[in-house]
Amino acid sequence: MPTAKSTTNSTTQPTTVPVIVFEDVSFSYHSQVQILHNLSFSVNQGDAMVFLGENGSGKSTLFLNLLHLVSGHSGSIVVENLEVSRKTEKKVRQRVGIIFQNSNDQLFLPTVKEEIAFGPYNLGFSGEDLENRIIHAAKSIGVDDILDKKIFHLSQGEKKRVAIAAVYAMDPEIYLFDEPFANLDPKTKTDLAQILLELHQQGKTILLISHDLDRLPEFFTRAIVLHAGAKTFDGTLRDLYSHSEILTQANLQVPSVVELYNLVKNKLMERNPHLIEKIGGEIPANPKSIPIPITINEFSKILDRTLDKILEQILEKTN
Amino acid sequence: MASLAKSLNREFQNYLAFEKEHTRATLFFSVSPLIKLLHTVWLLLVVNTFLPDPRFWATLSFGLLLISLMVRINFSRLMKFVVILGILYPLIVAIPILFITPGNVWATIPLGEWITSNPNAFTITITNEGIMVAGIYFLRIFTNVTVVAFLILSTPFTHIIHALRQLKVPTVFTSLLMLTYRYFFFFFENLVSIIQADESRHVRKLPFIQRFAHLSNLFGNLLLRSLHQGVNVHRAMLARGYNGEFPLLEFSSNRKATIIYIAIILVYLGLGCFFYFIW
Ligand SMILES: Nc1ncnc2c1ncn2[C@@H]1O[C@H](COP(=O)(O)OP(=O)(O)OP(=O)(O)O)[C@@H](O)[C@H]1O
Ligand SMILES: [Mg+2]
Repeated sequence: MPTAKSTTNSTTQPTTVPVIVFEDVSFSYHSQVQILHNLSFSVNQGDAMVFLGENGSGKSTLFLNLLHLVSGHSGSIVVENLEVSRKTEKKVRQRVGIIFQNSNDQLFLPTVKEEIAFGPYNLGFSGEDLENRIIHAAKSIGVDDILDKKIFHLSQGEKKRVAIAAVYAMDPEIYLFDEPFANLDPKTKTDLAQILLELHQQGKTILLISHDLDRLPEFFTRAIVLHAGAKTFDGTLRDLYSHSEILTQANLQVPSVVELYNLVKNKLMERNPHLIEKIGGEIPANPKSIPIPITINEFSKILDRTLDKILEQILEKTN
Repeated sequence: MASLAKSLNREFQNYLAFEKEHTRATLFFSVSPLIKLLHTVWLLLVVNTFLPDPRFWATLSFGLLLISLMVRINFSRLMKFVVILGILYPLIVAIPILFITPGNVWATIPLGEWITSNPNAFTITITNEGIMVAGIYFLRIFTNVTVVAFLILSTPFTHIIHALRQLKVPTVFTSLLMLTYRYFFFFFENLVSIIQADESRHVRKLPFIQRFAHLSNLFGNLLLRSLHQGVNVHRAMLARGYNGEFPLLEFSSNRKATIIYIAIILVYLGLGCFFYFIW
């Protein structure tokens, strides 16, 4: 079974079993305006994928359709071999957990503990089993010290954690995160990235909506871009960063590291185009084939190599 | 205005959160919620249908307030509950009754004369009957509120929902109740944020008509926003497999407490019958 293995070794080798398949999916709310336009894509087990797009482009609506929390789509949505419909919605929701954009709208019970208990309770857990699930989820997500607190008294960051713990306690295979980084301070964002990483290492499939490419953990390699409800890009993030027109259309900015890289590269080109040729490696002469660094780590390596080359030249000259 | 709304909101949130720290330690807390609920429904029936007698209402509400002290229901919260719902609301409704009920004149207020100094201007009369009807009306609502407050402040909301489900109340109604409960939170939170946002935008006071139009706009916005959040909460519940039930954690009703509770009910029932029929 791929799942059993994936807990230890899935970061590098995601399996290729499709767990979500959208085929020609369109959707409109009660009005005439169509929100989603003929979307087709598939997601493999263990994938970490980000959905991008301008405000109102239909990202949240896509998630709602996936869980059949709104009804009336055309085309077909299949989740783990289940065709999403009124009949299958209960089973689908057991396999797919969603963390909504606004935690205030997601939490509805008086205390943290009751909130976390809600999901597993609905799955049929009770007594000691239920208790164990709550404790395990609370410890894993780091809310075990606020279990007895009233939801109303929590900070935004704590609410976000509770919302995640409440889903984690149901142990779904697929996680949907709708703009999880919004409204959080930098430290809490880092903690959240850590939680995402752990889920990824457990082999969970993660779909995440974001506007902030800077905050995206490194293991998110694939992106789908929506523009006005239609898919305009489906591929790796690295590829996406060289398609500035798609990014602009979706009101997005390349991450700071890409910006920085471009800045350094241009300045070097201005001063000494030949130098670039000599450096080789990650900054070749032909800009078309540049593999853009998308992590600080990659950028740092390129910078090292560049500086070394420059120093080398200076030394050669002085000798 | 904003700071007032803010403190009102805090009060309200706290009080909707139904904190039971005080009751939690008492036996009363572990009485079966089902029995408590049934008893409450029964009391409401008696107050409104079987025994619509102001003397009974007065005795009952006074008695309940005393008991709530004994079972350590948070008294200040109970008083707020009773004051807001049990006094303000009936007063608003009862005051007009004072004036519009025809009968023997108890007092005449020459309101028109005070304002216009014309002795023939309109006057307001309060009749004896008006006082009676308004007083009875007031007492009735006050009693109802006390009975309900007594249940709510000693029983977590989820326990009440659970008891309703035991009584086979359809999930449609319990869900509605749950959502209404959440809706109140949203309503007050949004009220605060809307007033704050509004105040920060208006430096200068608007003329009355504009102000009025503006306020009705704000209010519409408030309702829509709260409704929208209600929809979101419902989705969040469904997404985690909601089927009409809520977990009851660390709570098992105590048989002994329940039996004592029932015994007390029987005793006061007996006493009531004794006074009612024999005296
Ligand atoms: N209940 C609804 N009824 C009608 N239209 C809706 C409803 N909910 C959302 N919409 C519309 O659907 C479109 C897509 O909304 P959606 O929330 O999916 O966008 P989004 O990509 O998540 O945007 P954001 O980045 O702002 O969260 C918007 O134009 C929105 O106005
Ligand atoms: Mg959205």
